[in-house]
Amino acid sequence: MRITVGVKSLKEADYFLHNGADEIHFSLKTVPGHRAAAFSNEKELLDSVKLAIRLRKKTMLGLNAVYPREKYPLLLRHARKMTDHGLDGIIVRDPALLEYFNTKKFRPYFVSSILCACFNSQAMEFYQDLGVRRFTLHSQILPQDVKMMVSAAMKTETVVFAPCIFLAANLVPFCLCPYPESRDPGGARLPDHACTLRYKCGGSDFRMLDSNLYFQADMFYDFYGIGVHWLKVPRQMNTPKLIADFKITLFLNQLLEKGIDRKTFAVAVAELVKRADMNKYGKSYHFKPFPDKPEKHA
Amino acid sequence: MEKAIILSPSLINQKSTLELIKGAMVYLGDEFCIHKQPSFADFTSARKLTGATPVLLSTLLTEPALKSYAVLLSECAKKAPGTEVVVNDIGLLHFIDKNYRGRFSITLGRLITYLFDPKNTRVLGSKSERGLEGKKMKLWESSLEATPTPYIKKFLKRYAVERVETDSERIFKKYADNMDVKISFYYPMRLMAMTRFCPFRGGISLECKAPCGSRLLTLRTRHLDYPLFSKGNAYFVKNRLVKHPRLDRTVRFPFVKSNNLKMYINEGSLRG
Repeated sequence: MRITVGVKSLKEADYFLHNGADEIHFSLKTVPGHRAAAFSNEKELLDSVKLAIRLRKKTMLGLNAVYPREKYPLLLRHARKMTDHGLDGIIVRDPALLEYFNTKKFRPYFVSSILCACFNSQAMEFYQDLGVRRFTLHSQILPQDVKMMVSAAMKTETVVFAPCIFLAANLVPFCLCPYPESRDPGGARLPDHACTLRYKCGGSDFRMLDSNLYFQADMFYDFYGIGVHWLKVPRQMNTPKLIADFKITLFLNQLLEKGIDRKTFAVAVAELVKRADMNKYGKSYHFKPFPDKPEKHA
Repeated sequence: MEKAIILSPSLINQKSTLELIKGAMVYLGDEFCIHKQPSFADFTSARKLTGATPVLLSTLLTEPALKSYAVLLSECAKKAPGTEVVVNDIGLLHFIDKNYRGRFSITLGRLITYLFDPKNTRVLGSKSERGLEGKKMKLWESSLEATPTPYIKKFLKRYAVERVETDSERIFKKYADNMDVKISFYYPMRLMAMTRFCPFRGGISLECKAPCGSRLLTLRTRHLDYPLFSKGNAYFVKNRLVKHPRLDRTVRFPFVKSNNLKMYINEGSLRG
């Protein structure tokens, strides 16, 4: 599988493109996507595209929020400028924006965001009719179901988040819980994602259920086996954690490419993730700058 | 005003079901679990039990679940044309439009209306709600991201949608103020999250006989000043009925409060 990494600065773009990423994806702060981590100026963004072109790698722009109609001309101008400078494609979530781009005869390589909630071939066809050619799939779709849905749809590329790195206990976009440390006037200020909190159910402890590392390892193995094209490492505010996420993804992907067997791969995932102790990097939504010397091993 | 109740297929043949329904319109199926989608036999049983055609309620469908649903739709198109289908999956909507346009009455379920309005506001019972009913809250709510209304209007026409559904007062008012479409409201629970990692089964199940039944678990954490509720594959907060002249159907689900759950804990998973 090829690896796409979310970046928010030229320095990050340079680091990941020189260390094994096949593609970078990003947004600009003034034209934000779904995530807060974004480039603060357009020049760096264009320089990152230039760098990727020089290294023969790809770039994708995230326009994966739901935007008001009055922003559409601005989004189109921004997207056109980027593709004119060599951008490879655009990640979109709202069918309304895709339709707008279509009416303006702007049809670059569109990628559907995980927020499109594509769970079957018919949903894929709906987005394909709007020009989508690559689909970001949810990690709660089992690999055998992915295989069925992709084979029933027209030829397309697929993306999954590395199952042991990016864990979504609930299904986006249908998780309406308050975001950690949200300042929304109607929301609670949670110290963490609602799906990670400790709950009480009567006298018992309750956690919103997710999967264990062995299950995740099996999914990872099977996604590779069925021919998923891309592994996605999402952008985040915390650069040291992003680097660690990327290194683990890269290493595990290399194991798969070398033909490791399922059982050994599961052990490798469990051992690696436990030893790496991802908690030491802190939260993905807390800003941490690019480290002076990135660790050799996560 | 119509009253509807959501009925999982596994409840159809239970003795107390008629009492539970109390003459309400039956929504047969589930919005959150592929294992609670009805077969045509369930549809026939529900019709026999109540003497009325049930509304089909669907969820996000995986490819195999969509294939099973296609069989149900094929039977219904022949033997019960005009049946109302609550669609919660954009793929199912596309499939019906392609193959059965005009043969079913289409309702957009609350998952699709949340796809267009992906932010929730004002949790009932939360202290943060108090004192924030005024301008600040209204200003914030009006700034929330939402798919442009002209697109939604066109979408409803394009897919011949007759009704939309929501559990959000804000979304309800948006449709009521801008669109000439029937609107249903879900209460007494409002959606907060859904998952395929079922707390009653310990993960994603390939097959399931719905041991969750009608159980409703109350969940508390010191970080939230209101309880969450777990039912089936979804989490909820309390909701109150919207008062509006455009409201013409309420939808509720039956539940039995359960005190406890011996739950599966997936040790070894990453948190945070």
